[in-house]
Amino acid sequence: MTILRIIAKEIKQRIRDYKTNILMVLFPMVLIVILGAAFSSVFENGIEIGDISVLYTIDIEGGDPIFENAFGTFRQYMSDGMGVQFEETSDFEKGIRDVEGRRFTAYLHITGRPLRIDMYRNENSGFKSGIVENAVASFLDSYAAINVVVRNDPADLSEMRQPDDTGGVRVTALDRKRQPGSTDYYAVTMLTLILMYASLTGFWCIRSEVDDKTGARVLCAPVRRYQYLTGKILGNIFVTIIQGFVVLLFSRLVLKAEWGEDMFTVAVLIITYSIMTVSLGAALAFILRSAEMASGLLNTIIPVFVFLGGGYVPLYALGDTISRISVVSPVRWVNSGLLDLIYEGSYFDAYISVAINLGFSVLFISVAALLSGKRRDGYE
Amino acid sequence: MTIVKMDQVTKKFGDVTAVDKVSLEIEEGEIFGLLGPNGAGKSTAINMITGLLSIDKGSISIYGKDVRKDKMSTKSCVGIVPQDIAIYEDLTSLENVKFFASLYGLRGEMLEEAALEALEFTGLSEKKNQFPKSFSGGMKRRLNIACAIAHKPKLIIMDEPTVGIDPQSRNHILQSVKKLNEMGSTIIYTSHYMEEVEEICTRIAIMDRGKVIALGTCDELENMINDKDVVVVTISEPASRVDEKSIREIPGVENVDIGENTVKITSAREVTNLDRIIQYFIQNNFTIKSVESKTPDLETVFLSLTGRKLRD
Repeated sequence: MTILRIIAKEIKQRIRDYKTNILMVLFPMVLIVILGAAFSSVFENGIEIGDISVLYTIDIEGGDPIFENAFGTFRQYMSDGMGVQFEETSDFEKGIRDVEGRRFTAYLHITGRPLRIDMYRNENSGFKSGIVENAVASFLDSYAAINVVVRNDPADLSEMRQPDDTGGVRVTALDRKRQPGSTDYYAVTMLTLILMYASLTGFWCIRSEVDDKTGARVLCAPVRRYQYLTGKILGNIFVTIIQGFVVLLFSRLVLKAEWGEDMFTVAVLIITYSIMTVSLGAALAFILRSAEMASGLLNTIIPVFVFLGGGYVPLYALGDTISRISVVSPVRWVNSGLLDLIYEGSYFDAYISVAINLGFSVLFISVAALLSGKRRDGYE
Repeated sequence: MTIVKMDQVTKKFGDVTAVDKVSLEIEEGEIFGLLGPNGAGKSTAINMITGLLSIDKGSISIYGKDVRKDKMSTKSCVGIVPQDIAIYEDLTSLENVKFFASLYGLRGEMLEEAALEALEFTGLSEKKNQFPKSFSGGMKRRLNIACAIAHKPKLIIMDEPTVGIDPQSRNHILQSVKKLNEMGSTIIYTSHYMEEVEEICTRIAIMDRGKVIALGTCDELENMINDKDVVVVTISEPASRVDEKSIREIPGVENVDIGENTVKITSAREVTNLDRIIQYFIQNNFTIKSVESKTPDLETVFLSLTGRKLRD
């Protein structure tokens, strides 16, 4: 009952904190609208793979049935799986002209012995021709292997990977039929950004009671430290979750941002993430004695975590190094968990994110509980 | 009946001994004053009674229960008015009082009634729905008290409840303390304002450097220095011009307390030196407005015991 009293008091105080509410609710709403509009072209929302058309010429003297068979399979895959349209021409000059005239995304000039594919593309079709380039490169990688096997021991061909599953990462990545538009993307990342800032409210919910001496007064009453700490953290987590859901519903209902079908798992991700961020702030309030140092630290690490989490710019645009480093950011995991869940129906990153959120929450709350017992003078 | 018993209580912060082997017994119905300058150990002693600070050595019991072993039980019968105003600025007066009272187990209508009663008692009924951020310092102090008394504690601990407020609010608080005592509460009242302690406390412990250096009623304490005479000389000029050293050289003078336009001189009773004192002021061209002979007060007692003023 005491915990409920403290939770109710916390909720009342947080609801009346208009400045923070504006920051936590209105700010992300405005950012989603602004960034969604500003970066809509970058995300090329609505590009269908079918918009890509490829003209090709096979110019192998005497023909190469093995290659033609493999290339046929590749075309079939690209056509069925991604909607890429292929058209053959025997006229090299026409191929060049059609690409220059933007009638085709790319032109492939295939010559033989040794096999060589020259790709011509229009300078203005970077994104689409990049897809073709990656796909062709992947095809060539696997064709080289197939070619060796077929020429030496055709019986082993069934063991080989076919072109449609060879391409490694890049072709696989292109296999997404649904891609987030800018509003969809920033609805996710701005929500997780602002929930990361909830760690500051977690910090101040503890710190303000030390500064205002109210924490000491509460502890003079028949209230145990764990009750006090639990009430404060739970109250703040509750309000943070509500704020998060307000932003989510706004983006979904007003901005029509995509949040996928499985709202339950989305909610679990947001709830566990909120628990983690508030707990982080609460733990820091006990770890660092100086409020300036603690808030300075949070204000420094939060933008870094958000950047590494792809909060401002999608991770794939930041290069491999940043992508590798990004694993240290909890924002990266919640973002990828949400995006993979929404657009691929994949739960892998979502589960990792939930595990990270809960693991760190337990750690932070334990640290806060431990230090609140030791730092009694914090309430003096 | 003994309400609070402190037995050889010691508390250290690093190398500093804040409370040093203090033993006290506070009886039911008392307004017990803890008097001492800042840093004397009053608040540390209070914080140990409330369970906020651990006790290094010795023991404290409230109603016979050890504060360490029966923490929740002993806390529930105490109301604390902290030295710093400890209220929530973003909760209304009524919400503040209700919240703190609820921590002591009050619920529903009983909670509402108790909170309203506490606000009525402190003269804040009309401000019950207002936020303290708009209050004066005195009103905040009164709300600070209301939050401590709503649950009707048998023991109320007031740690310097009148710091930094206007005389009117101070009087209101002092009257409230007396009233609470009349209503049956035992009160521990700490202050470094000796006038307050003299006015309301039935028994007083004077603390200095963590130790209780004197204990008794106001009269008993003042009688401790009945071998002293106090003379207060009021002059027209600023008293800062008075040379304290010269006065101290007058035979029998033990202490000199220089105010704005007054000089308070404590002398040994057996020495007659009033003529020499007046002579000093005349010879140094001061205009004497009045000369009063006073009985020693707690300030004089403290000065006599420690050689320092209470507000040093």
